[in-house]
Amino acid sequence: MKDNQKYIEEFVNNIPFDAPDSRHRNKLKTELLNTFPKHRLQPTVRTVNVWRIIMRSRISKLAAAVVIIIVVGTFLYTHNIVPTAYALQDTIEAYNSIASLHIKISDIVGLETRTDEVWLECDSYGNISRIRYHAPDSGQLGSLTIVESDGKSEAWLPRLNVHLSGYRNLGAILGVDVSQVDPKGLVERLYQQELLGEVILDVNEPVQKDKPIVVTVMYPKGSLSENWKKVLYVDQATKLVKKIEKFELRDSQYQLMETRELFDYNQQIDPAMFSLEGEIPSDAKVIDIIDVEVGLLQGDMTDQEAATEITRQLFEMAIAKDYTRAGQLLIVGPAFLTEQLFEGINLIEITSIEPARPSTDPDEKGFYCSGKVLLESGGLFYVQNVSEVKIRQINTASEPNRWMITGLSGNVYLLPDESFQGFFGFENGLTGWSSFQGSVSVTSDSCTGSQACQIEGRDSEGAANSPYFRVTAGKAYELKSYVKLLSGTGDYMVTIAWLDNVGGLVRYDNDWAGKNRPASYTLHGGTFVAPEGAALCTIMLGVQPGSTYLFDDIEFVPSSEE
Amino acid sequence: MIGGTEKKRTQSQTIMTFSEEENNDLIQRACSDPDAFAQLYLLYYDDVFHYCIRRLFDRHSAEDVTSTIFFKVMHNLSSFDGKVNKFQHWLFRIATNAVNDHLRDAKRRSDAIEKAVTNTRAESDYAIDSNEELLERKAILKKALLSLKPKYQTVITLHFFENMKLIEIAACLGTNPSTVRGWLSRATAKLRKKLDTPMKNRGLRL
Repeated sequence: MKDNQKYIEEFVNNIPFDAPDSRHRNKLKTELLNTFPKHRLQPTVRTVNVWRIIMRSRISKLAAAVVIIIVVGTFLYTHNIVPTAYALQDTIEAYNSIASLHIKISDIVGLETRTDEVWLECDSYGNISRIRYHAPDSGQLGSLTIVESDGKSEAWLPRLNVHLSGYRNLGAILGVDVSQVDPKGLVERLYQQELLGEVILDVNEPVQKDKPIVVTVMYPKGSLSENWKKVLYVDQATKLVKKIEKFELRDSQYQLMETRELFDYNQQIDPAMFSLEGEIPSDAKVIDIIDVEVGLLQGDMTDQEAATEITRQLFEMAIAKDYTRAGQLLIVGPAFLTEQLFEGINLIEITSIEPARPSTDPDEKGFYCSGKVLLESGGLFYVQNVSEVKIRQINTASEPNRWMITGLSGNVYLLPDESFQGFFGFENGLTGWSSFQGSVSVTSDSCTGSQACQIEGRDSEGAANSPYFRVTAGKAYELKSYVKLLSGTGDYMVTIAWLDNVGGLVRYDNDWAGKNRPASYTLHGGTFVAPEGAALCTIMLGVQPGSTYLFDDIEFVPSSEE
Repeated sequence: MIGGTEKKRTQSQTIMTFSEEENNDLIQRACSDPDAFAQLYLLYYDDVFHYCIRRLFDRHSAEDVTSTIFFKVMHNLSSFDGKVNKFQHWLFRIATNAVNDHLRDAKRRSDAIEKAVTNTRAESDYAIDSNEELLERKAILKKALLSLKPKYQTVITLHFFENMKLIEIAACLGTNPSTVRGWLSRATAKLRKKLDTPMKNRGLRL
């Protein structure tokens, strides 16, 4: 870096630039000063003029006053507002006297709502000094509690019986950005962003004092977060934020993505809340990783390059089974924890990695990356489609400019070799099957062997999807399944959904063709040709509402009649 | 009319003769007193113009953006909080956003590069002390700098032309010094790469 700095210093030395032109300086000064008195004084001048008209006679004074009261009153009543007097600075000021508060953060994850809780204690300037963060469900990690106090942080993961300590900025590493939790910091950022034109604020201050001031935050067209908006509900009396809602525009409609409720302002919090002492069983595994290298150093890479590179490195480390390094890249977990996250999967090779893309969420300064890897499990080969690797920059005093993976999600395609024959007798349960609807289970009422798959459609259809198979367009395949009706009068399906190479639906075959309602196990199926554009397929089993069917000995193989 | 880095340093020193207290007093009065605002404007006009011309490499664009910046300052001065920010940092943050806004549009950006390169000769009229090689170097610098991301352009200009330390740049940009260090490291590496090739092709040396 020093060499580059020196090179540029020498390069720019003595390069001539235009000097300021006094004509422009004077012209602009005149323009500014011409605008200045209007900008500052116009409202006062107008008020004086109106008052002078009113004061001409007692009668006109009275009449005008009545008219003004009626007009203003009607306007306020119909618009349900008073002229806006609220400013964000009022809230920033109000937070200076806050010693503690409690926050509930509800995230919409798919169709579920996940609620985390935060307790904050502030110093005499209103800045956070101690924090407790509790997430009842952190995916594979299970429940998670983080406490930060006196610059130290530790975490407790009961499902894994692991107590993590020695982290620097543990919250950030585990994907919980404390700075984003702090409402004072949030309002201060909004204030600065408004000043710089980075957000558009709309303030609605109702007449009724028991109703909150509603501050709507929009992001300018063309900005990264243009499809997001936030709504802050501010208490009129205290000027403190009571609730924050975050929306994303999807299919032309704003959908609620997150709700934060802030309450118990200045209610004393038990000091024990900011310590994990007494909560951790004596047999918990204590891991102190103060000297562990955190994430990937950015070096000369751009943000996007760093985010893509750390994704590639994570996969490479997992292929090499270097779970120590993989753990450093992924939430700084110890090797055994990282190995558990990979669940014994044998990664073979990286198929592809797409360039990382920035998150559009206004509160997330991170990237998302996607890719595909080939993996082996139980003797079968799969393509893991990693649709969302979540990457964040971790900037702490001791760890500047490092990048960390804070989440992974995706789905798996089964990738048979040439000799593979898909056969599902459900002797090992529902391994490999997914996307369940209704009630899906195994039963001992089987065609052959000891188990079969039972699907019950309740108020809506029941269904299950097989792992994905790789197919060749134009090639014929045979699908067979033994089916038995257990109860109800609805139809069933043993369907093939043909998909393109990224999992998009091309066509269904044999959809709801099961109308025979077999009282005993009966063979259902036939020969099907993969349509143009098909690269993958999945077998879909389904039953109509109110019916229960059993499926067993499902076979999917290339047709021998070709 | 020459305005190189030496001139900038002299002007910074002029500003430094105001104590922080006097400066804050002037800012407070400038919120409601046009004379005080005029004084504040004259105090910072050159700094703002220099920053704009070094970011945009075009006199007319620099003057336009300088005007935008001072109108923003006038409208928002009452919200400036001297307890939280230094005025110069607040001013440069507004300036940086205004310059970046100007460059944001891709078409405008490509126009700016083209304009900057084609204007090299015309600008030599202002640069009476400069020789051919310096003008050649300036043309290379313009093209290279304007092809970087706005944030990299910003840190390069603030560091190498405005002589700001990392902590000051961070205050201007509302980020932390370690982030600025990273940006600067990447920006200098990229800029060097972009400067090296045309210098070698044209047989120029530092």
